[in-house]
Amino acid sequence: MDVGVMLTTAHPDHWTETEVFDYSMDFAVAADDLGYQSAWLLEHHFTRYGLCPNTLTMAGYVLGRTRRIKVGTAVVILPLDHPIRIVEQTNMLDHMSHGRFILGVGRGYFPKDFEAFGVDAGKSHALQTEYVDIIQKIWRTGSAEWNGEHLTLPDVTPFPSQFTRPEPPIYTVGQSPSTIEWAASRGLPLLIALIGSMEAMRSNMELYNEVAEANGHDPEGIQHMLCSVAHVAETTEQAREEIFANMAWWEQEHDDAAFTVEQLEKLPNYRFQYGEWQRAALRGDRTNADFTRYALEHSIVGSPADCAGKLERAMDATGVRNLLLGYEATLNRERVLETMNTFAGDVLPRLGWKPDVEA
Amino acid sequence: MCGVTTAKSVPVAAPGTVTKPRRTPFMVWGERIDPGADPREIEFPAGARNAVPRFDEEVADRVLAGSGVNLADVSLQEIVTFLNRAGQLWKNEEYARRRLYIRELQRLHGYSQKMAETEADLISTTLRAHTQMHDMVAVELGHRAIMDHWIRREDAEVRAYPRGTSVHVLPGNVPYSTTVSLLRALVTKNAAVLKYSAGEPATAVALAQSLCDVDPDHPVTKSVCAVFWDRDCQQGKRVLAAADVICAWGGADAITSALRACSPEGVVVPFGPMRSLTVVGKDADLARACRGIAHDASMYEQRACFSTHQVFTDGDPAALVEQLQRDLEFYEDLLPRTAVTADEAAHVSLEAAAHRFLGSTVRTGSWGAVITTAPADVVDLPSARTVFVHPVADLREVYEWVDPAVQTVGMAPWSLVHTHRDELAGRGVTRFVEAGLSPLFRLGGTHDGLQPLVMMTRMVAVEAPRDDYGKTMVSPVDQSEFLEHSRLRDLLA
Repeated sequence: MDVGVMLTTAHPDHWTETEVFDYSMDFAVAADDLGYQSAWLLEHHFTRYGLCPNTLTMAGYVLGRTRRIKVGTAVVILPLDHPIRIVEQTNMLDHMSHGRFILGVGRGYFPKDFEAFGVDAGKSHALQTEYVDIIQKIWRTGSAEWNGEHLTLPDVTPFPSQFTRPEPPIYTVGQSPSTIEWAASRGLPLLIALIGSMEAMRSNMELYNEVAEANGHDPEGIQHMLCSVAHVAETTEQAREEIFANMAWWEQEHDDAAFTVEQLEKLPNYRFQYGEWQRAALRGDRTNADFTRYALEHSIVGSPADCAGKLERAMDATGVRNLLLGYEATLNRERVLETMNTFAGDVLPRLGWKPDVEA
Repeated sequence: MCGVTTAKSVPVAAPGTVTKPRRTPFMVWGERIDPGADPREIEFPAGARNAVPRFDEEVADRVLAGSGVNLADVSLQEIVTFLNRAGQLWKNEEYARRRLYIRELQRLHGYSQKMAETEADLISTTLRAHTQMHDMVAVELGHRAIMDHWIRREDAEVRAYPRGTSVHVLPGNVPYSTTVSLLRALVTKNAAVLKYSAGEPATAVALAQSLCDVDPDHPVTKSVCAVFWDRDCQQGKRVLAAADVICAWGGADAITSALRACSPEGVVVPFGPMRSLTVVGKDADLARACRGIAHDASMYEQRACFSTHQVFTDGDPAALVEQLQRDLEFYEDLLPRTAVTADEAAHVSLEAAAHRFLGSTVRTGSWGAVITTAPADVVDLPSARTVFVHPVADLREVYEWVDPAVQTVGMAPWSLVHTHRDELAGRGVTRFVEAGLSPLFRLGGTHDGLQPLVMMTRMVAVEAPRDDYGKTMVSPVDQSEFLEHSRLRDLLA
């Protein structure tokens, strides 16, 4: 069982931009000290939802500041970048950290990103799949030569090659069945948001496992991660109250930056996300407070026993044993560090988690 | 297999193919029961295997105990709204459970992608048909609010109450039957135990799970089970004996078992083995008629009770056969063939061979078979898109071949219905449709001559007191007074 820590770089009013990054480093170092297995970085542009526009740059810094913990990207927005540059930077971090870097990719969800970087959002899924194919081809053959639907590349050899052999893993965000099936066909592990009913989450994993097996991959050997906001207090009610306002703010920042319903209606490759809006409307959610409440009900927020219980149920339902937890909901440096400690010392051990100890 | 004359071949299920069994749970009142260490294995003609829990005493006890939720306390609009939420999930192609269901229909039954998607679409459309659900209640029970309110009806107020717990003994030939049966239970506020057939385990479980996907704690979710037991299972019989209403679909054995197991207080709503046919008049638009026949014979690979097997015509049979073959070939592309079992393939081959021997005109191919023969020569009705064409001099000759086992008669042209419906209805037919509409059950229609919602409810009446005269009286109603003063009978008349 591996547990990672999410470094959101969310920028509330009471933190300066420098403090956002300083505190992120503090959280990463603390995670390293506490024995968490990984720390993960999020890429965002033009929004205070997250200040980090380049997870690979930030990963370099975090890897330099830490000793043992692995550092991953959750995610690099692949369609906004170039696969050769991703391979180059990934391999460089792979060498410099001696295998501590993990590449995680996604296709993006904020319209300004696509507009600013001149990428067609309607092709995000196709671009992601093609870029991953290119990345894996480079790792497997050394050559970037490619003649695909969206990119034509010459026969060049990106350097350095990878440190991790035969090749580093690639994680992908996995919510929509199309992405799940694609990832399963490649045997790519998923970063799975803990949202919705247990049966629904189980069905996602069933779909993944079926397709993975059909494509010759052993689902048992694939190390997915369950992702959730996490916060603990004496009681569940108290835990929710403590972070409600911040979660509502973060939710609003997200909704302001993300595709609107009208935009999603015109994007067939975002049919899942459109369905999420529809489901929210049908269950009666109308306001930001409603959305926040729903998110909190499905997050790992509660008393220590409640948090452990929710995690156990989710892990049983999905068969996924690895977690990626976001502790920053208090938006208070000391409280975040305290929460990380409490989870490491009290909640996670109830599930059999053992911190990594530096050799 | 059937004297194939065209290039495409119909996949015949290869028996004995070894595959890893897919472990599939029961769903009991919104809770999952996984197969244990000793599951019941079900094998399918296409070689797929499922491992499901054993329906033992413990499982039966959980079913019999119920969930503690009484759907009678939930308004119809809340039930309909909840089902709509589930239907919206099914509508979205980016719904994992829809994809799993499509894959399962392909794996278990050899459905084509198109046919499997059509089944998923049917679930979606049905669960989202909120207006139609209210209309169903209005049409069959008299008023759309009657499940929630007392409705004035002449000299009484009437309200419909659920019978309680319904057990649905489901068929293996038409997955959509499961959705229909469940819907009927829920709009009449009955808890529903979906006992799926060994031949069709996918739909019941998928439906129950999708309710959990919407809200695992909702009263509707907690009012549904999806389970399986073998016919001779004693624990299954316990559940049947405790049922307030049993909706029994399937062959004669299934109906008989349900009747035997049902308690004296319970009600059995039987949807037993039926067959269907089409009548084509000499004035019919042949192209339209044959397209309709091909549709009615292709849906569900002709295994449904509404699937047409025989066509009686007083027109040119050669022209009809020619057109029908073209349309069956068209349907081979439009709705690719499901894997046919070895038994089905053998059945078709045998019938074709037998009729060739009798001198009948037989056309077969990967698209199906059309056999032109006298109705007296038909002993058996194979499926797999096999259509018998019976030339007659007068369409009234159809009458002698119709009995109460005939469910649906398709008509082309539609004007024929006015000429023949009374006679055919008198002989047992319960449903007339325009050729091509056989699989589509219209609002207001009946099912095997029944209005199922009526049989799934108790109609409770609050009759008017003496001061409410009604239409027939001009003074307070008092039988005792009338007995005492017999002159009132004449004075008040």
